[in-house]
Amino acid sequence: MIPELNLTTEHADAIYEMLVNLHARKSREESAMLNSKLVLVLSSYINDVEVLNKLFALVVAES
Amino acid sequence: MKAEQLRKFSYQRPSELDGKPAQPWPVAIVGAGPVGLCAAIDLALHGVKVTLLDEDDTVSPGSRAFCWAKRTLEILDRLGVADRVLQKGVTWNIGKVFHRDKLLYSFNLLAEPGHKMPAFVNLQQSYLEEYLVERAVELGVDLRWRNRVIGAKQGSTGVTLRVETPDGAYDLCSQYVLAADGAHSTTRRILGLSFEGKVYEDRFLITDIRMKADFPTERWFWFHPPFHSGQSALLHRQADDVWRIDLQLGVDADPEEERKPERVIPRLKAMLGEGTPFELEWVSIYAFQCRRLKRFRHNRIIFVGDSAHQVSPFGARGGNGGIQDADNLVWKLVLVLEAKASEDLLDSYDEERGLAADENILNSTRSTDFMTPKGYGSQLLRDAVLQLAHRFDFAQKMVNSGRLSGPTTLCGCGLQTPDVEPFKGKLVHGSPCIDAPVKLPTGEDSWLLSHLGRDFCLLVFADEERTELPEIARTVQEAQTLGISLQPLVVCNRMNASINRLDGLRIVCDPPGMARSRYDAQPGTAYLIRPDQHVAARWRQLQATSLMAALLRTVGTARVTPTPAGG
Repeated sequence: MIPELNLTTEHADAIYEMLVNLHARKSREESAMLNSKLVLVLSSYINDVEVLNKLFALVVAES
Repeated sequence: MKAEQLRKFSYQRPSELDGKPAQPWPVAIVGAGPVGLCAAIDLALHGVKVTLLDEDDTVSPGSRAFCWAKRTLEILDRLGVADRVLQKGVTWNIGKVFHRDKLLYSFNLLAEPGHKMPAFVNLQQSYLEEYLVERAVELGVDLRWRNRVIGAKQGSTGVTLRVETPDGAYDLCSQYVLAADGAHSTTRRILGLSFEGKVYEDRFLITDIRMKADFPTERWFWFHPPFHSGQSALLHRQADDVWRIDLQLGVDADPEEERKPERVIPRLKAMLGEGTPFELEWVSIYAFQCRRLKRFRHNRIIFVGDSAHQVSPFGARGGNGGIQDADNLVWKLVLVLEAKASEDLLDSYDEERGLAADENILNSTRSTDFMTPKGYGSQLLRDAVLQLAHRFDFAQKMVNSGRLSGPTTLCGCGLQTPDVEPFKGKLVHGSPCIDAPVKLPTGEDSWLLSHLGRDFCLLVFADEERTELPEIARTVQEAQTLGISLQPLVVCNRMNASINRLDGLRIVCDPPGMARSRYDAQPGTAYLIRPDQHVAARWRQLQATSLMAALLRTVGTARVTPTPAGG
């Protein structure tokens, strides 16, 4: 089963804006490090190996 | 429209220059753009004498604002020009977003059935202005072309404007002044007010072209278009086979160079194909801005439209937001001029349209940040969203090619009375009313919004037997003792022969039940509706005391939340 990606329309713009603001005035290296840390924190919040495995597979298949 | 085809208006020497003593005007409006014209027409419809000054003598060149939203069309309908706009304009519902050469997704704005007005109509600003000028003239508005405001002095009873004309300068006195003089407002500069917010560096080329093309009547937006090296492009149809094209040029573009036809035409040929003949009508270069005045009311000078707030395009929030400013302000100004409300009521314009401006600026800033990413991190995020959007719904929701203008709900602002009984559905207190098809007692088809009138309206839903009507009539009579014009409108389920004999109340019928459902109405449900068609209060059972309290609150004599003072 593919995990559901439940972003709701009313939150889409606000979440995107938060992410953009996190990157404001960051160098390439700082932004890359920030992205890595975000992935680790969100993964730790999800804390489900099976779900994460499927989510990561979705992204890898995409690129 | 090409410059030489623009509708021109004739300057007339103001009588003030010949030393004729003039009475002060109740209202003078600076700027005959769509916002100033709408305000002038609305004031004239309320019987207020109004003069409208414009430094120029033509309608706006180029399309500028061209995409008119449903709520604006409803306002234009109340002002008496919507039919012409619908007839001349192009109605569209479908938007498509492309990434490189692939369609990412499409959206359909087609509103649910049962509304008089469509979701959006595209019509060049020049046409709208022409229709509004004709309507203003018909209503006796004093239009002064080539009258440029060069100074303003406020006193305790009014404003003295210094006005320059081809024949010299004169003073014009007015109790109130509406500054509708646009993004580069002279009035704002005269008052020395700062315009706070963000100005972006990205330059955009906008152009109107005339071409016979079989592109569908849809809004097409490209990220990384294959035909253009910039980050985005937009194609939108207008009236007369005129198309509006916006091309993002980036931060290094030279505005003077980029507006030259020898630079513009190759860009358009790359987009439209070598074989598509077209004629260039108008070209402009602009930068995105998201700014506003801290306060829109400065004592007796009140800012409306772009002079008060400016947003980036791609949301149609400039023109629509401005006309909604005028809609919000005029009835309040009329009540103040008639001494039926205190001047403090004008501060609610600041509160309510300030909220709308913030909402428009928020949406516009987000769209701008998506379309013109700044820095490595946000560019990566944007491109990741676009890549994922080919496969994932969630990413499509994040793709932002402009969030199109919708009306602001004034829920929580001081003039509205919060609900005390539960209501379901989309309407909340402070929402603009939702239209619905109705039938007149004569059997004729009509629309609910067409019957709300120019004053306060008490919309009451009656039961099958209409037993409550005599009581409603008494309640309305009692509320009318407050001296504020209140017109009842009763919605009945069905028509029958007795309907014309009902206590002198205006009646519409709602056989399909659409109005009942949209207003979550039961027999006896009543809505107090402001002259700008926003819900001020509503009840399951109407009582004279609560109606009168809500009415007083809406005209600002029983405010519960303090608002900042003007001045």
